[in-house]
Amino acid sequence: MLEARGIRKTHPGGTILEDVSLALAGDETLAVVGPSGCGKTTLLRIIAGLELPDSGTVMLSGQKITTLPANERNVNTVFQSYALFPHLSLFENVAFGLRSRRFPKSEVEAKVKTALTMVHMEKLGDRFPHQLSGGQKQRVALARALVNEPEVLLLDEPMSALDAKLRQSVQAELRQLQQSLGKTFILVTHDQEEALTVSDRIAVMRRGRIEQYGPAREIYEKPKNRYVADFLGKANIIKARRADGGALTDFGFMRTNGKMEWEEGYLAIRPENVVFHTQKPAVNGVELTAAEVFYRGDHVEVWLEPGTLRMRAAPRRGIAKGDQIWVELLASGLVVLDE
Amino acid sequence: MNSHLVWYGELTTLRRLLRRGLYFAAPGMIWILLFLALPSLLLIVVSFTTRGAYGQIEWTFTLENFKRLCGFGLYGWSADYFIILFRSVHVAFWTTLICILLSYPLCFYIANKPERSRYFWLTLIIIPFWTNLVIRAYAWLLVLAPQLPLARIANALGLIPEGTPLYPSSFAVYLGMVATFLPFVALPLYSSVEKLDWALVEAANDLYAGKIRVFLHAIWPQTVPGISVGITLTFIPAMGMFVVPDFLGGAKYMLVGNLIQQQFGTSRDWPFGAAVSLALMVLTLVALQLQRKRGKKVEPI
Amino acid sequence: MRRFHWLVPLTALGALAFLYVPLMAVAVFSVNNSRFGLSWQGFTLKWYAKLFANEQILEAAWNTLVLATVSTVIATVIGTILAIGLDRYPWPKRLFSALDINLHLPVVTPEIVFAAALAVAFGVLRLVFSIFEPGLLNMIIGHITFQVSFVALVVRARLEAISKDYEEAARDLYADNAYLLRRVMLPLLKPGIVGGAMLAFTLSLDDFVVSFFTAGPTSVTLPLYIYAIVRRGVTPEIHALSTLALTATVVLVMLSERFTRKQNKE
Repeated sequence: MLEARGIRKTHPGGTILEDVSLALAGDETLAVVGPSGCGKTTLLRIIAGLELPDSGTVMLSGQKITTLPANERNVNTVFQSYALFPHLSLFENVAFGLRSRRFPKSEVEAKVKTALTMVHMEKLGDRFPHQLSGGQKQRVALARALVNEPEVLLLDEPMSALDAKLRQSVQAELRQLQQSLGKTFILVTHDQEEALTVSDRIAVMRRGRIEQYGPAREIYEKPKNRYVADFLGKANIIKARRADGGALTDFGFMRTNGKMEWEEGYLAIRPENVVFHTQKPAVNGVELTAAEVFYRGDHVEVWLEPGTLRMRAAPRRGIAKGDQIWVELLASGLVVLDE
Repeated sequence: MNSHLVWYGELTTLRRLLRRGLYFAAPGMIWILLFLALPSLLLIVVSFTTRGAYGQIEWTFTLENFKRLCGFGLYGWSADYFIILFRSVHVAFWTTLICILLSYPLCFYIANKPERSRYFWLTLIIIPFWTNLVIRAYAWLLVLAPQLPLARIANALGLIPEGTPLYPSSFAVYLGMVATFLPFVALPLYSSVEKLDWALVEAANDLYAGKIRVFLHAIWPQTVPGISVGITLTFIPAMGMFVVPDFLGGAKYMLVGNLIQQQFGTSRDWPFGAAVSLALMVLTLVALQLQRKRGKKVEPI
Repeated sequence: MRRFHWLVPLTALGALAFLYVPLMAVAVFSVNNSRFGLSWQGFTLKWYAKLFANEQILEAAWNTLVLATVSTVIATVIGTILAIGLDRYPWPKRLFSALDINLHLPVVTPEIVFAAALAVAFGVLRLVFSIFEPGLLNMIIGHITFQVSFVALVVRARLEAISKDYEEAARDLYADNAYLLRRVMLPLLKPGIVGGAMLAFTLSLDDFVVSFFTAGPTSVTLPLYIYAIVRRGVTPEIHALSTLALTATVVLVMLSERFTRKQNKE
């Protein structure tokens, strides 16, 4: 159980974190996402004990650890650069945390072997970091942190040095590892796909604040505002005016499930919730022209006119540029944004 | 002052950090203060004292040493010391310039070698860099001896009488100086040349720049960092050099280094030697200042 | 491969010849079977044999080694901790630039001025402490003074290249100060420390000026010995001695290059 309350951090250059709070159950993965410079890495470093907040508290299993030195916290980090010690073999790298706490030799040996096996590196213990590929280094860094059995594992941009294909398999492995260990993982990333794949919860940050914090699915399906909707996945933003049972938009009256706090505001809809119809649909239908059609293999992306609506459709529909088509803006997919 | 901070992963306080930093830095800093900074101050003090009858320092303060340095001696005014100072700057300047002129072709030639043999060629510059100065100066003394070809050719041309060596002479001093300092310019320059971005040179060629313009606009700016290190490593030690002029210049071609050495050696006139050292120190500071100003004007890329 | 004007290779090779012809001449005459004069009288190794029978030269060689070793060991220790102290602590800006200037003093002060200042300082110290007679102690102190600065600069360059991540990772992995220093910082700094020590050692071997101003009658080093002999008149042993010194330099350069290349590979 990790909790951060009212974390603030300023630098001579300006504010980095402004009143950041979040709570996390013991066996969950949290992804902190946001553009570079939003403060996500600083938040991670504060949890790791590599930086002190100006105010606010960090609690781990009910204990205040805000001013506990990094080397006394039961929290370990996988650094973005991996920071594997170049002069130590993989075995010694993984053993480092145990040896610095003077674990008995036999125990060190057993634990390191288990950790290396866990990341499928058991045969390479004698190698040195410079002999490894990026993916292998990442596994060792993971083993080096996990061998200490931390309550919380922090990962700073763990996939940024890997190529796209490797990234997907590592994401899956990371997810499996977390579930089998039942530990808290917190990873910082600017890759929204990675955040969705790996985590149970997501915190979307902007300029030192958490814009939205919640279960991954909720963040994707019910973004609170334009920023979150745009940052995670693609979204169409539609100007709207409140009306009875729905909203009045450029595409006519649209029925929605969400509650509107405003008179005039915005709705968001994901491209996959704009659905193709051969005839005029019963509700939320509108007839538009396919201005551009992009074939993407498993789907086609269609840009519709007038307006800037984008949709996804199955390639077998055979939508061609210039076609007049009917689409439905699914009422369940129309999200009412805060602003 | 006592608030906590995390520094390189360590939770500590500023006071504790600085105290530890002081423990680390103090021995070295104090050593340099004690055996370089303070002695230099002492040198200044001594330059205002008087030489005793037996070469000891007498602590009566006077401007006599500086007057003497400016040429006011027992027998009226003479320009001797001025000439020595001027000559030192002059020799240092030309030595540096000639070394630069030789270093460019040398560095480009080596940088252009295939990678495997480049290392061998570079070692050829590094070896003289590390060879003892006394040995290198002596080697020139040997080469310029009367029985060897150089002196014989000079004799055949009627430049020197038969059976005399080519030293002591200003020519010999220049030979020795350039040979001594060439590696000091070539090595830093080489590190710049190796990193040279040839795309700029090609772009300049592409824009129909003449050879001189290509050099001035595409090559020179990129090698400024190396050259300026080379100049510092050459000009300042060259001004104070005394082994080379001692062997090859003799009394005829004295530099300020020889003058200092003479005062601390045979003349046993420490106060005057201190005054001459101060003059050299001033020249050095001026050179460093000029170098820094120039370095700021030409921003390294 | 670029094509240059023919003057470029010509000047380059000329410059190299200019550097090596005198040294080669010394080597050639070191095996010349003639006591006086510089005409070729056939091959001999007798000058080398004489060298090793010459007490003065052996003593000078011993002095040179003792001086270089002792001063290098002390300067490496002091210089290394100095570099750590300067690079890894949050000095106020002004204080730092003052310390930095102090650090660079030995590098920018002309050798002869430094040597003169030392001679004067020891002269004054002698009035109080008799141990500061010209001799090995003074030479060691003098050599350490410039070596410390070079070692610190080399080690500091290495420190600057070591990412903060390693120290933070070590802390994150429960290391305390001593463990961090022993297990992470010193091994990572090793190339810098060894490089600095090699530089210091070579500077000491090569030094003439500082030794010249601080040496006493019993602490003559090889460069001082050669200088004195040359001033008195040349003997062929000098050629042999110079050639040996040159060979030693070549070997040292090769070794240090091999060391740096090995480090770069890792």
